[in-house]
Amino acid sequence: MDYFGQLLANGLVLGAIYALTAVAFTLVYGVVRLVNFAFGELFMLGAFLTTSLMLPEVRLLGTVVPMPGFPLPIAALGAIVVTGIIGVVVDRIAYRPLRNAPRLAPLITSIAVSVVLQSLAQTIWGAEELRFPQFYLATLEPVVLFDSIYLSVMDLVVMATAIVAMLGLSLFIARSSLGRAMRASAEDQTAAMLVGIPVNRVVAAAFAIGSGFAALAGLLYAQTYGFAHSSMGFLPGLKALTAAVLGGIGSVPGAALGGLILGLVEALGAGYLPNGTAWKDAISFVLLVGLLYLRPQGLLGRPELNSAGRGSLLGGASSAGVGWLQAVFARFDALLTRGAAAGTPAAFGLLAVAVVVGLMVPSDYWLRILTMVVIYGMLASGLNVIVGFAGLLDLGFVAFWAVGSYLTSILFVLVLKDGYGIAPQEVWWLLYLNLPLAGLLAAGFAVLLGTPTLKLRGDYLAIMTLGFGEIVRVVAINWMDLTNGPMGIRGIPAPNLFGISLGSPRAQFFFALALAVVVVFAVARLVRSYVGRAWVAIREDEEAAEAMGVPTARYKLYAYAASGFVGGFVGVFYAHSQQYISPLNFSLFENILLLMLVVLGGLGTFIGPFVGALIWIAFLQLALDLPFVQAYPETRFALLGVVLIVLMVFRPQGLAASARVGLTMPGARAKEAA
Amino acid sequence: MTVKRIAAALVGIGLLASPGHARAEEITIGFTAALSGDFAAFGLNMRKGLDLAVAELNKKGGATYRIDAVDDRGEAREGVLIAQRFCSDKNVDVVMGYSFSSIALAAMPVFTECKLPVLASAVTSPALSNVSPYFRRNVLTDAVQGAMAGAYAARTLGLKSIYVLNQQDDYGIGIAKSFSEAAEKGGAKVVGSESYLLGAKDFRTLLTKVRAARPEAIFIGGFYTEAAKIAEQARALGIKAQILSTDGALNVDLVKLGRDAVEGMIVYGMFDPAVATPATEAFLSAYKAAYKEDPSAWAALGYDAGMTLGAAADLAAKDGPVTRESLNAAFGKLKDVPGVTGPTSFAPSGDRAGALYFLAVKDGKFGLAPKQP
Repeated sequence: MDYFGQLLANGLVLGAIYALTAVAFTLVYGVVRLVNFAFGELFMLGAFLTTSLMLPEVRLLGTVVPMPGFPLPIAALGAIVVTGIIGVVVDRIAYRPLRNAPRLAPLITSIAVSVVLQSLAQTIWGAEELRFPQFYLATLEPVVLFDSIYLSVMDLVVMATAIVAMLGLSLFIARSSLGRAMRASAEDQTAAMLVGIPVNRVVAAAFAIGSGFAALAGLLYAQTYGFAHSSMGFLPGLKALTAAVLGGIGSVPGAALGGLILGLVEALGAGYLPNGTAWKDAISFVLLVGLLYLRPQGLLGRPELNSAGRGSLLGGASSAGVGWLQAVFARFDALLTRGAAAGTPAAFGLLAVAVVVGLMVPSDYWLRILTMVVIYGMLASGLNVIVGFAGLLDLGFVAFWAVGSYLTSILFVLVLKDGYGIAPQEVWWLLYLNLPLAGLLAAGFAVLLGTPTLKLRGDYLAIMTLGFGEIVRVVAINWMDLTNGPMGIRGIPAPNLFGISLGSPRAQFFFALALAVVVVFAVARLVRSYVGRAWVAIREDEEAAEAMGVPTARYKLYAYAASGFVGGFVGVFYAHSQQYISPLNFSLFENILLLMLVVLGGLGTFIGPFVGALIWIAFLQLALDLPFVQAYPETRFALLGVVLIVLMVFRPQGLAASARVGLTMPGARAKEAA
Repeated sequence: MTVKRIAAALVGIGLLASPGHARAEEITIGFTAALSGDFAAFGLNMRKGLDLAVAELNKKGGATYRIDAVDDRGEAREGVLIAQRFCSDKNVDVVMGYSFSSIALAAMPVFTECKLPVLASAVTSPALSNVSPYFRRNVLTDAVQGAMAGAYAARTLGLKSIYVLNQQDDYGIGIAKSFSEAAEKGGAKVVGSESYLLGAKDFRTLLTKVRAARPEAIFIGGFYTEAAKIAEQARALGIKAQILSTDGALNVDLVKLGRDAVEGMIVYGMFDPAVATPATEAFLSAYKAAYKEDPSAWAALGYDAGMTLGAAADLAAKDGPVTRESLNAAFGKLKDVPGVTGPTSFAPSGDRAGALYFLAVKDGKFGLAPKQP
């Protein structure tokens, strides 16, 4: 009984924090229909700001800065206000210009904002944890209930604060005029505008309040666990989003309920399942996926929220932007258009360049980097099938990649070498069999993943795929018998052909290049076929495609399968080229990175993913030699995020957009230009 | 076209990065470890010790030593690229450092290919034993350290019931396994075991389980970041058990993060400033003069690795120029190089023998634990 009681108490504290953050997601979603992934980072900022304001001095950017050393309540208030302002600024810069853009656009910028804020926080406050200062209330003896349930005084404060804050917000929304304006805007923005509600200001208020709630949750979390850290907001952010979706996103009581349920399920699950602590992150995502499958609108949500806006990201280019920049892009576009018009010869030309580069580069180090570029380019191409051509945001793509890598590693190392003592050289041909086999297996997984998501649209789809990706990763870490867990699998043989080792960096580069030719050719054939046209139709307008007789569900599954196939296929080579894989290689951040590469290069193009990969990976390595980057390596990721936001606002179709396959009608294109 | 231009730029860079001519008397140490991020403390401390050794070697005359440091940020993927970077740079004669066994494991095939010797100081996975003829380390393996700690807990401290926690990776799993086996052999009972993910923050549920088992002691096979949180949350849940941990928790940051909660926690390491021998005195005073703090075990191992390299380079120089290959051969021939963590010689597996000190936190500082094996 005392065991259960203590778990219940732990779950309530955790649930209170989840609920507060979930309110942030729900509030903003309710008003602008945007899943702002960056709330996890605002949560983190709240924690850092509070901690900094409470300390006598803080080390910022490597220099010690004197701080006021406020008591907790004042520091907390300051942090909430500042975070609220940051939230409004983020909305103004990154989301408001995209208010009328397709829903995918602000979703991607919010991920980029998240990356920027996290890297900046790491640059400013450093990579180490910042200890939360001790203060009076935390030094009090814990409250002991029934002689066995321990709750610290601050635990009670956390729960009380959560209840008061949420009741206050509900009252505010129900009674105040701003609250009424918010409800009106949530109901119908155009109508609200027509009756004279300043919608932009209402949205800004929603962002301010939401960010304040996230900051409040963050500082309570930092207080409970005793630290602030730049990556602390990531997982709680995902959990809070899960809680918001569980409760029905858009509903404040729903967020409270979702947070509570999630906190309890996690605490009780971790407490009663064998080795539950290691599995607890999977528990919440399984809950999420299950619920989305059975009741997509959440417990208290309204079904109409499960919908996608019309139009694709690739639509009209924004005419905003500096003059010279536009001129540069215009020349660049003309060049690419000529290249794209040349079609096959241009492709062969590029291939020839790649071959020459592969032959000429003298340094093994740069050959390895170029191999990495080709691998990431291929993976991004796989993701591009689903995001760029079919217009579905997939945050679980790394799972397919992992399936391919693990399949070949398990077969070669764990089964054949360790199990039967067969040397990898004797079965070199297995690699070539594994390539399509892993592709098929991953495609199977993709269909499995895709089937339940058919009921889902837009943002819910992104959240569900994210849940799947995380589940696969947690399974890879914890199912030791299958995957060797976090130790990873090592000793994966280098590629080999008829007994000749292809392990040298140069051979690997050409191997990768050969695979890239296969991948690009296959994707290109597929996209130009009836299937590809159906995808583009779905991307441009799902309802219209459905009305025109495209069986959208089936073609969406094809898109998942094709994308999964590429992921698995490339994953096999990835494992053999790295010779060591572990679950760390397949984190959500890798997925976000791939997504960024696709967007950077150009959604829905064949060359784009490679352009993005080349720019980014070469930059990552080159920048390492700059003294500033050596001191602050995280700034590279911040820069990527900033570039992405700028691209989304000014050039949503990516750098290489003019190389896009023209599968839409010329009439539509002409209208865009006008 | 743009692609072509970038490619051309890359070729140019490749040419720039390609090797110049190595001078025989200059030895370049490729140093790589997690130098930023949550687990940076191990690498930064090793670096401090190594810097001291390099300064000393350069003062001595003979070959000059230079360090080329690269941060692997704790990511295995970076490990392979960094290894290739060192391999391609013909100036690099030896590689040192490494905070994570998984990264060293990922990098070793590359080093083996280009025959570049590695002398690591903080990677303890048994999987690295015999991994390559070019790999050596001067730190004891988990299997050895865990067994020593298990025997210490059961025999020296006389603990009867222990709850074993470990972080879910090769380090934590390896150490927890060897600790549990040795503790049970010594007469203690392992009343439960549980693992957690590296980077976990919330241990309340885990500790609620621990509390229900009423153990006399808790063993944490993990790093200082989590050990400090576990200790703090355990005390908040009213758990009074003795807490034991590993060399992964041996770090001044443990005390900074855990404050009062880690008072009395017992950890182990291969070096302790309180144990002064003639060999350590010079090191201690030089380290204090340079960094205004006591050296940790990691700094001591980094220092010893540097001095071991010096001995190997001298040995190799006797038979001609110092190359990667001759340096590697010299490492294998070394016999009992004196050092602050005891004498160093390498077994063919790449491992060395040595002793452990058990340390306890007292008044916010690590000191020799009252009971030693």
